[in-house]
Order: sequence, then C-alpha cells, then structure tokens
Amino acid sequence: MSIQQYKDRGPDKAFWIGVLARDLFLVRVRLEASRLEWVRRPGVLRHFLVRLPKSRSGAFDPELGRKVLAAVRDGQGAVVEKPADFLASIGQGVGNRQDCFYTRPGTDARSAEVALQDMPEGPVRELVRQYLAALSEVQADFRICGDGKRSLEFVEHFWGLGDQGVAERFRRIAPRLVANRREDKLRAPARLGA
Amino acid sequence: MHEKREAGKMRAPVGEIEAYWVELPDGVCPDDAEVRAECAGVVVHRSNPRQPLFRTDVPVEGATIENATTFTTVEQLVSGHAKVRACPAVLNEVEIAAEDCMRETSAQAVAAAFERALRNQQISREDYKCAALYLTAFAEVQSKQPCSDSPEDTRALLMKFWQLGDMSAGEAYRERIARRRHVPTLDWIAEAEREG
Repeated sequence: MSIQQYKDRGPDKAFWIGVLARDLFLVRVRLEASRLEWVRRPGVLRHFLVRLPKSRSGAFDPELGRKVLAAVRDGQGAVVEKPADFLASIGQGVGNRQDCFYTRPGTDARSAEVALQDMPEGPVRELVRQYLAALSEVQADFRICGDGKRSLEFVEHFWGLGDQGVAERFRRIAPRLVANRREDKLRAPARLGA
Repeated sequence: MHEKREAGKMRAPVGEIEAYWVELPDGVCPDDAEVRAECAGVVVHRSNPRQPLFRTDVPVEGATIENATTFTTVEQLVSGHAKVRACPAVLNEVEIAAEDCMRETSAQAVAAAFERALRNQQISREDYKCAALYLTAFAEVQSKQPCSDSPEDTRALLMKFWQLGDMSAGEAYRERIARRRHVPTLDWIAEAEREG
C-alpha cells in the first residue's frame, strides 16, 4: 500500500516521525506537494517532523513510518497520488519561455521541463520538475536526448517509485537504450545503401 | 541552478535521530506535560503551543511492533501517570516554617516551603517544578475535601505516592481522603455519656 492510500488527517491521534533532510530543498519540495502535515523544528537544522497519515488506533504499523521516511527523505516512493491530468496536459503549450531549469541541458528530460514551464505554478509542478531533474542526471550520463515525451511517460508510469526511484529504474535500462541507439546507427547506413 | 542543488546536499546533522514522536494525550494540560517532559529529559517540540510533540527513543527505521509499549510509556510519563524522575530525598529535609502554614491548604504550605528552599538553592529547579505538580494535585483535593492532614503528613504522602506520577498520586490521594471520610465517626456526646 502506498502512503497516499492512507486516510487524511482525522480527529484521532497519530504518530509523527522525525526526518533529517540530507537535501533540504528536495525534502521541502516533496513535503509541500504532499498532503502530509509537517513542521520544521526550529533550532535544529534540516529536521522536519511529519505526521503519519493514519490514526494511532489499532495495532502499531512500523512499515508506514519507514515508507513515509523513504518517500520524503530519499524520494523512494510517491508523496502524493499521481497527478495524471496534470502530466497529461504538459506539452500542450508553446514551451519556449526562458527560466531557470533543474534538468541537464541536452537531455530528453530538459525538453520535458521546458514544456512544463507553461503549466500553472504550484507544488505539484515543482515536484514533477524534481522527477525530471533526477531522470535528467541519468540521461546526461548516457547522452539520451529527445523531445521530452518519453521522459514524461516514464515519470507517469513509475510515479509511485518517487523522484529518485524513477531515476534509479531508468538507470537500469539506460545502457540498453544506448546500445540500441548504436545498433540503429550502424543499421542506418546499410539501409541507406540498400 | 544545478550547482546550487549540488551544494544543498549535506550530511545529516549530528546528535539527532529520526525517531517517532507522540502527540499530547487527550485531556492533559500542555504546560504540565512540558514540565514533566523537561524533568524526564524528553525532548519537546512546541510549534503549536496547544499541541506539543514529545520525542520517543524509537528509531523510525528500526521500529518493531514491540515498540508500541515505549509510546505508551512516554504518554503515561507526560500525562503524569508515571514518575518522571526519582523522588529527591532532599525534599524531606526542607523545613516547613510557621509562616508557610498560613496558606489555605497543607499542600500549599509544603509548596511554599519548597519555594523558599529553591530560592536558597537547597533544591534544584527540576525537583521543585516536579514536586509542585504533585502538590498542585494534592491542593486541589484538599480544597474540595477538607482533611486533617498536616503539611508534614502531606509531604510524607507526596514521598509515598511519588512513583505513581503526579496525576495518579492526586487520584490516590483523593481516594485515600474519600475512604477516610466514609469511616463512621463516633458520636462524641454518646461516647462521653458512656464514659461518664
């Protein structure tokens, strides 16, 4: 069960967990996009307290705390349900505004992020950018470029893995994509010759 | 922008653990709970004054079902249903002066004596704060149910009930007074006539 499937805050008591952010910016983006209740601990740098989205009544569920921690701190799990409508409408605008980017230039994810600039601002957009940024790191290593559509499809399909989880999944297939591209290049002159 | 993001990746702060935190149990005064937590060495987070959070020592990543008892223990502690620190023997040595006994209840008289001892650095601030919680509970009982306990009796009961925690000690004290009130009192005149 993913963490978003637990019910929202009710009147019951719930546990909170401490989250030590290794990347303050990323943790903040994830928390702001999530429906989780959270606070910063004043005086303790990079420490957040996050309320678990489940009532305390019933048996203690240690797995939920670990899931929330992995999703919020490490990006290994979705902090919010897949914004399917949002993702589907990316790319319908002109997508040529100049802005600051989180993705690496020349990657497929960069094209997707350019298209993302036309989407309404908000925490979900920022979260999608982080998915693309993580994906772009891998794509830069393997020199994978494109129009951005496949990156968006990949993000949408593996949304539940979290921003870092999606990138890790992509890294597993990236060498195969590169090898495939080389084969295509080798075949292309042969085809032309034929 | 990319360089900025790289710079944001830092090591986790030293001295903090990713632990479970519990909310204030229902019906518990937040201020009193914070005093108990402070005396017990439990870390408190107060972003919302009406809803402080209390840290447990249960790590998020290593938690098991058995840790549920730890949460209960912390909640009992901040609710005043378990002792937050050992009973300070020095409380027995504090002199209860005549002027202390001007207070409405015996518990308030003991509290006044402890306050003076705190000013004289005879007892620590934590000991005083903790004892004051017990004495507040006792004073509440004494003001509602007049009893004959002297300040010395009250202090002895404070020491006796200490391990229960202040709220439970107050309940134990209330029961004790109620039991005493149910003992049928002798008819003084009838007794005197019989003697005569």
